[in-house]
Amino acid sequence: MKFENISKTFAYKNGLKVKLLDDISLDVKEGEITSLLASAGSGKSTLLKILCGLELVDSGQRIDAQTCLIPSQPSSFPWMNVTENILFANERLDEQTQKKLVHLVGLEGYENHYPNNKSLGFRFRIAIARALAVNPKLILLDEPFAAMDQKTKLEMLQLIVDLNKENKTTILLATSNLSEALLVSQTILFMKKGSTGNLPSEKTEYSSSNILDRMNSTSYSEYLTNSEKIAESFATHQSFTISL
Amino acid sequence: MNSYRDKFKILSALAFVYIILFEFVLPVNKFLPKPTILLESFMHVWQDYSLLAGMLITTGTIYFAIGFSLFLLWIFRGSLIKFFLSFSQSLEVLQFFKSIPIFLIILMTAFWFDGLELAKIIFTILITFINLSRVLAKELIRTKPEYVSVGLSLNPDKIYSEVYWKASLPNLLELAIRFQRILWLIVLTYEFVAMSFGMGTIMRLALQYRDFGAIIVIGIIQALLIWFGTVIIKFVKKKIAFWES
Repeated sequence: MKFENISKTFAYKNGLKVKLLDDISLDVKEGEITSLLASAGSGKSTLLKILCGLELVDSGQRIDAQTCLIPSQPSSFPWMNVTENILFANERLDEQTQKKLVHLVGLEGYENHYPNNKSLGFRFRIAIARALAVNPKLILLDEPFAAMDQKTKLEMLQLIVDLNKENKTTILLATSNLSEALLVSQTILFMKKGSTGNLPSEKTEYSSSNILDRMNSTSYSEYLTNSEKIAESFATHQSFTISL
Repeated sequence: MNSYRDKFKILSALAFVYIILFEFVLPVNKFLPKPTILLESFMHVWQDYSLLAGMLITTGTIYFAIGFSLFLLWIFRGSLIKFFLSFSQSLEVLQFFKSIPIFLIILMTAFWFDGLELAKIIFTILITFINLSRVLAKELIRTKPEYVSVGLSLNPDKIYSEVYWKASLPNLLELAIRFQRILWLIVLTYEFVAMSFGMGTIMRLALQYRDFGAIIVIGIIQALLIWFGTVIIKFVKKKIAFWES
């Protein structure tokens, strides 16, 4: 899935114009998890909004990539239970698919539970199931793990990896955390404020799909060292979070 | 639970002080009546002033207006939300109603319709509907963008009626709780001015007869009715907007 020459300029009321995205191109491989590693303020959320059609590009066009965006605060509806939340996205979903989705995100037994007063992890699982219900070509995740505690974060990272493995779901994860990106994705795209053209990238490959195994592998340490170098030379005064 | 107990203790203490002071210590005065006179008034207001009928009409008007306005908003939620979101100026127009002196509107309505009972009901519904619509329009702006983003691929009508409406509902009901107190004041003033039937008119009569005991008793009954109304709306809110409780 190629997205080419994406530019976005914001015009302020006082006439000031800021070009946040300047002719960016990115390639998201189908059936893979790709991470978009960028520090705060570099325009990654705007890029994701453009990809899902929430924002227009400078030419005034809307990119229709059949995507589904999961924002940083997972947006499950508190007035609907798990099943209703999933069905809201796709009413025509048959019972078997419903059950499959609930199973995929690990919410079996919680079908009638409401997301209010539940953990971020619970709401994230619902958001993923709902996204999968519409069968999008690409799922966009906008820093969904930032507010999660370590245990939940690892569980959700594992969920993403398992989903991709079992379902071949194409995912684009926007994050400012290098470790998150390295542990779950096959490709990492490095982005900074003012990036143009094709974004520099780093490939990863692990023998295990278990996140903890990946964390303890030598491959991970190597990728981390390489990526830190790329990130440092690339980001100049900007910074990424390295550890989980 | 403790706060209820504390409130009860404070009220009991105030009632005790009132009984001691105004029944046994102070001479008869025009500030507060003797508790025994209040008790006698409590008996006679029901017969002499037809308080039960007046109470039913005033209370019925107020809570029917709230219920019916909410029902209208619910019925037309899709079209209304679409309209409010399409015309950003609609909130400003609705906000303008806030600055119109309500007393003037009461006087004008009473003048135009000669205190007609139906006019009072329609006037109360209109006032409530406009205020609830104003809050709905305001809440739409506050709706979390992530709620809306979920339904981008869906039919917009479904987003209006399922997402925006539900997201606004808790605050809409919260306003209904707060607004009913203002509505009591509006309806009582209307009845007082227009001499239409209801508790406001009964209070005017009591004032004309300088029946101080009756005024206080009617005031106490009103306070109890407002309290009961609040409890009912809070209960409804807890049932309908359960995710906020």
